[in-house]
Amino acid sequence: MSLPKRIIKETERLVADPAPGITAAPHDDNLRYFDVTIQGPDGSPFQQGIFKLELFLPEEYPMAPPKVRFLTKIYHPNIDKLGRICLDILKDKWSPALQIRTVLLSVQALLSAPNPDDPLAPDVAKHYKEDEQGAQRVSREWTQQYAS
Amino acid sequence: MDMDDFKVAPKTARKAYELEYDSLSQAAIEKLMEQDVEHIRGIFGVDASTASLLLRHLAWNKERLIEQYMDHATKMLVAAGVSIPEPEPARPSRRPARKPAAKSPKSETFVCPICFDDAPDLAPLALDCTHAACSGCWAAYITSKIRDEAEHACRCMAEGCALVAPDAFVRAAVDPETYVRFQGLLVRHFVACTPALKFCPYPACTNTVACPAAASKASLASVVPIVSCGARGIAAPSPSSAGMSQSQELARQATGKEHKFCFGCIIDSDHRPVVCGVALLWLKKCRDDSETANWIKSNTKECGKCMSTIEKNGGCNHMTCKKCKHEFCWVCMGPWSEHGTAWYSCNRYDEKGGVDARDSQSKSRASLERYLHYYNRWANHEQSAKLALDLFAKTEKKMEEMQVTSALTWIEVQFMKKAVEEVDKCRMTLKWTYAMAYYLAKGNQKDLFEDNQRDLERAVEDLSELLESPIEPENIPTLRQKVTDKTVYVQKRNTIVLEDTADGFLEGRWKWNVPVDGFDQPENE
Repeated sequence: MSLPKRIIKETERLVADPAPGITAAPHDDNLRYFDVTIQGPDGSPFQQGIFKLELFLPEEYPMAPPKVRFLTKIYHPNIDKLGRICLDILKDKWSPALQIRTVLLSVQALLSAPNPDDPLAPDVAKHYKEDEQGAQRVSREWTQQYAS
Repeated sequence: MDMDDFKVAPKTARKAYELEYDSLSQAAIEKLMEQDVEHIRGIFGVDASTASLLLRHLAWNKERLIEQYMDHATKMLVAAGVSIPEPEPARPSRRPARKPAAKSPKSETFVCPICFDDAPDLAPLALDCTHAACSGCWAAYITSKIRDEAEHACRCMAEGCALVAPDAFVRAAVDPETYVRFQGLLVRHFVACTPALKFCPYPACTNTVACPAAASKASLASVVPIVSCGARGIAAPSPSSAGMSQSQELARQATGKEHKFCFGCIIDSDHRPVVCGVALLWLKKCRDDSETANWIKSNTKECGKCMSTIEKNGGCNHMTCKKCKHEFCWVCMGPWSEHGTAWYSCNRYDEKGGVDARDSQSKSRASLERYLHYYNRWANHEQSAKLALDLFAKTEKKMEEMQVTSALTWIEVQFMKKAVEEVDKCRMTLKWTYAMAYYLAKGNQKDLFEDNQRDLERAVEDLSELLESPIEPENIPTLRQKVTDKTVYVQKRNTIVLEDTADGFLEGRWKWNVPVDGFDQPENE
């Protein structure tokens, strides 16, 4: 199975010119499977954390979105216990013009701007809604404990 | 004697349990769509492609389209994906990823922003928004939208661009087979948007039925809209087809079952005399025990708006129905819009649901006995109906025997076939009467109903027995007389059950022992 030109070029660019705070490297035995790290954005409760993620490009990519999942535990209203992410561009708002880089930047942006009105982890979202300060404190604690 | 002898009443008079409906081919539906497009085109003075995109956007609701278009024509055109929005002064950007990388600097060679190919012979292709991509990517994209997602509105590939590819663009981009599929999707969308139309549920059938009398949900409490799409399916396989004459072969084809289905619900067979609501209740109850049902029950839910069955195979609880685009919460099934503003109550739902589930469990155990009584009879008729195929083959053999052993002609032995068909039909009715009886509230009405049911059942079993009896050359004339008489009688009994039940619905005579949509609440005993 040959790899489409699009994936080869995207991979080259990701390695040659990585986005700030983001690394993505394909597995040697499966070039559609990427190990990803994202730095917690400054000013967010996830600051200074290094979060591991996995990213997989399905057969239909880029007509279908990549599959992305957090491997590091994170206390965030839009990311659940299993690391699944609630992000519109990973679902119905996907466009073939988006790329691995843009997807990962969006995930990073989600860390800066949690959206408890569209929750995936209801208990975390509730916490964020009712006691933002307290919830952010837990997020910071988890970041220290799991992501550093 | 010919087959007409068996008809109880002339076909012209419509019985209480029959409804008026029309069967339409795909071409006929396309014509209806064309008429609507033409209508809108005339009023708005736009081209046909624009008119159809506008209509599709507003779910073929012409009145609403005209109203909204008169108020905000530009807004409507943008929303329908016909034209590009006017550039706004400051575009609020939610994502930091808005870099112009996709559009490489307009150098002499074109690089497709999707596949990154830069072959010199690459043909850039774009909608009016000028977001170009190579023809190969467009073909792959539109094909995947149509084939994988069953989506007819193919928006521009560029992120955030809402322009929809017009039909001509789609036709040019994909192979003819996919375009046919695309046209099929458009027809299905139109039919789904029109309450008076329903698509034939039989596999590969492309016919549609128009039944305005059953278009509203309220009407389903008083009528059982069983319709036929006009097509016929595969005939019962005959083991002796090799030795058949041409006329026999033709007759066999003509016996192919009609695509009969219910216009009001998802049951793809005749469930008269019982109304959709009760029939569905019953089926759901019966299926609760089966493995598949258990899987569906634990892994899927129905969309609160269009009742499509949905499996959640990933992602968050914010669901968008593929078919009707209804947005809801997977946990509480409430509309998503309520979650955004007021804080949501999903966590509380579980507790209450748990209590309800426990309640209903103990109740169902108490009534299990009663249920089994009805279920066994229901299942028995269903089983017998399935065996009808065998009976049919056997009957055919008997018919051949009769031709050999007596002086009867092929036409004259048709009484056997007619009788088998009648038995099959009546078993269908009987089957559903048990579903009905299970839910009927106790009282005189139920007693009368069960009397009718008993009379029909007895007659059907008698006839069934006659059909199984051995044929002796000397008793053929009497057998023929008996079978013919019995068939007429069974037909009459069946009509009585169907008609009386249908009248009962129109008069509001039937009361249920459970709450049913469209009916009064049951009285507590």
